[in-house]
Amino acid sequence: MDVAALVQAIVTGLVMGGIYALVAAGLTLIFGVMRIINLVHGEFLMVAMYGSFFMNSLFGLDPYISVVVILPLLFLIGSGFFRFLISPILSAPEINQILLTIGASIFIQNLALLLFTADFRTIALSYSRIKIQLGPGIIDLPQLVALLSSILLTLILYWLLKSTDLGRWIRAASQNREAALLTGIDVRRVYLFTFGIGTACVGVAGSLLSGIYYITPSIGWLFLLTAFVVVVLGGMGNFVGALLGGFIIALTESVGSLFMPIALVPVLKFIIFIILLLFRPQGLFGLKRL
Amino acid sequence: MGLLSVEEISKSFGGLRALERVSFVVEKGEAIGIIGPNGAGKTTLFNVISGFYAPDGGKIHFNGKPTHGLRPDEICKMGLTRTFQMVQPFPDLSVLDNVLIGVLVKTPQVKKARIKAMEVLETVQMADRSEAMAKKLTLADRKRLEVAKALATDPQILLMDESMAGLTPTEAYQTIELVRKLKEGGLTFVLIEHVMEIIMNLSDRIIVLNYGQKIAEGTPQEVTSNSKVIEAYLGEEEDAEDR
Amino acid sequence: MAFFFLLIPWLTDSRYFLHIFVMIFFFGYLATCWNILGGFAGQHSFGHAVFVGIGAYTSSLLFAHTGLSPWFGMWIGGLLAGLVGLFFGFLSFRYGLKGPYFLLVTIAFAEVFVYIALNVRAIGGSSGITIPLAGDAPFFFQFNGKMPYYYIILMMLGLVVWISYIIQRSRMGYYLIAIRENEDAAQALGINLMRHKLWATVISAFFSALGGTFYAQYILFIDPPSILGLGLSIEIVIYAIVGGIGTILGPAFGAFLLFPIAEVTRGVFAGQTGGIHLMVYGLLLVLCVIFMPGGIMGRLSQWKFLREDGPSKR
Repeated sequence: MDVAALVQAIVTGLVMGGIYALVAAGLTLIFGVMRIINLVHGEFLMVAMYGSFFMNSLFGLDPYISVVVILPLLFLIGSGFFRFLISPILSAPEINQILLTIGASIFIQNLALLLFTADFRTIALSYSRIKIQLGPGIIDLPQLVALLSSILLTLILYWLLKSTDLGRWIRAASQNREAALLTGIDVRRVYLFTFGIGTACVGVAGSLLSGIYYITPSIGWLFLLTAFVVVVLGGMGNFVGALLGGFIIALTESVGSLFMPIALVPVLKFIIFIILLLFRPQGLFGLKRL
Repeated sequence: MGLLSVEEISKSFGGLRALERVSFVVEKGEAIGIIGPNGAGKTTLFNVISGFYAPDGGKIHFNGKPTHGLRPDEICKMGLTRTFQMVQPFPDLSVLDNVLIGVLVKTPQVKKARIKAMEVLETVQMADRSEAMAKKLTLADRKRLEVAKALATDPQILLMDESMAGLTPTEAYQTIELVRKLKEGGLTFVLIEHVMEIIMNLSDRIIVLNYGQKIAEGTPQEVTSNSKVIEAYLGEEEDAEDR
Repeated sequence: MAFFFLLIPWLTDSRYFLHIFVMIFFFGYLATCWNILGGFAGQHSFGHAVFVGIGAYTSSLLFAHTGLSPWFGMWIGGLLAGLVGLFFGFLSFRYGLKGPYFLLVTIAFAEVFVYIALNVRAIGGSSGITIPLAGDAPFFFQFNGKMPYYYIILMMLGLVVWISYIIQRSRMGYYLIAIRENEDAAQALGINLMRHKLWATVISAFFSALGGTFYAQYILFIDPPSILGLGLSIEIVIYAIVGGIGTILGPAFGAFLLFPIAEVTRGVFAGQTGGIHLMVYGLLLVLCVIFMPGGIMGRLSQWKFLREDGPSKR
């Protein structure tokens, strides 16, 4: 067996894992707190990527810099989405909320298709081609940045939840809505912030990834499904779990591609997903409550 | 063996022992009351008897047949039905449809079942509200609907879990009369209640649980003068005062 | 009204017009099948295209390789789909998957099927299957004109609507609705959850597969994205929900309403790849969820004369 190929696969897997975790972070936050399966999350990623692209093509802004704009922008979009679309139906059965996000996702994706067409956009950065050597493995600089950012983001979110007031309120509201209400926490406001933060996270992801991937309207969906597997694997609401889950899934894919036809590799993660949902829906690190 | 025989039932959740070797027998036609401080395990006991939980240890026999480990729907078909403390109606269906669903277990034909459902509603005096949506009912009516649904399954024994909690004295009185009437008709009852007068009035025998264990069993008079029982309840009062 | 539909092919010469109706009936058919599991039983499946695809592939492969008439292959496809539904349903329900988790697992399950279909050359892979042309061959479920197809799919639609009607008024219907409304209460009243959920799944899967065969014989070409994909699954669900989830006529009505919109927008914005009509669908879904969760039929059923016999519904 080709050791060099294996090592490269592992390195690629770690890097991809970081990327998956970046996308999954916001998703797991939203689901962990509000138990909403947010299927429009992928479209927000796409929006962020297009945002970075246009900032780059219109103003020459480097995506790593345009994060500064994208982050608050996506926070606003997320909060607005929650405020106007989700909040009214918060007390409806969960399925309705999911359907709403699906409808919104279809709408946004096809709107993008209309506005931007299906042409691939790319951002060519002067340093996209720089490769870093990690032992016998090679990765691109932007990917490494993405990996490090996702670790950083995970830590920031972790700190946010553990040490700030907002974080405490979020945790309270997520564990027991009635009790939180009784102690005077404005649960709806907390949910609003959570949704906003979760969307901002994926905004960061979008900016960081805009230099790596081809940008098309359907890119959101592609990431979303994987992100969901990662979220469930790591335990809903668990950021560190999402990070580790990202690594596990990505490694499964990269190492798997050494042993099976590339086209079938995605099947692996779906099978993992199904097994998880059936036998261990709380994932590796989640709590037993569903 | 009696109609229902609960033998050394134990149930734990993680490290918490909810029930510990609880045993008692219910004879046909009796009304057994189950009392005990909050958290004593009363509803857990019902959940085990009715099949929603499987016991960790012990056996249950209904009509001589073992029911421990069976599913709730199987046990219901055998003739044992329970109500829920937190009432569980079918919210978007009418009162009549709610009861009809209960009737269907013994009467599969929908047309016949509908007639029987109306009869059940007459028995609980809700026939005038048969078309009302379950989710729009008052609490008292919901509790009565809960009883009606259970009655609809034509049980031999009915487990009622706090069916009178939250009711006004008048409403409770109606329910008491209903239970009395049904008992005279041959229905066996096991009742969980917090309101002492009701339990004292209705029960032939009372079983007292505390911390998952049976600490007393006897007639209402025997139980109320039992020192362990008094201690269990007083203990609860003391704790309440300390806080 | 049903009578009117019988007359339509005689009232028009336009093949296009007939085609629209065939597609409307087809999607209405699929949505009605979905509704048995998703509407009555409340188990929202977002992978129903799998069953449709199994039907289409089975009858087409049997026809292409063994010459077996799709009229027979259809039933085999249905059986196969029923078995797949049984297997998948059993696993899901056995392990207590409900609501959102069930939804996710149906998506994952369907995606696995799509990937496999895309990659197994023997069943066409990504190039799909072209159903061998047999010309005007009624015995092989192929016709030259649109009219026979029109009547066949109309009959199929009528059949599943009738089946829905029968189920809704029967004990099974009440039990499925009880399961949808409150599983614990249902169990306490003697309802075997697994058995009834499985029945709903199998019936829904079986008939969906029959629809798949129809599609294959009508369009004469199938490939994974068109007949197995998430897009079709979601489309079916949208018709059912906007039309009226849990009602008998709602899903078909949803197809009646929405499919022409798709056609119109496709025509007006010619050249755009499938975009606008999906935008409309998405928007309608959002509006529907917020303002009319019971769909259009759900809202209309507040008028007594449209109220359906059987358990009252939201």
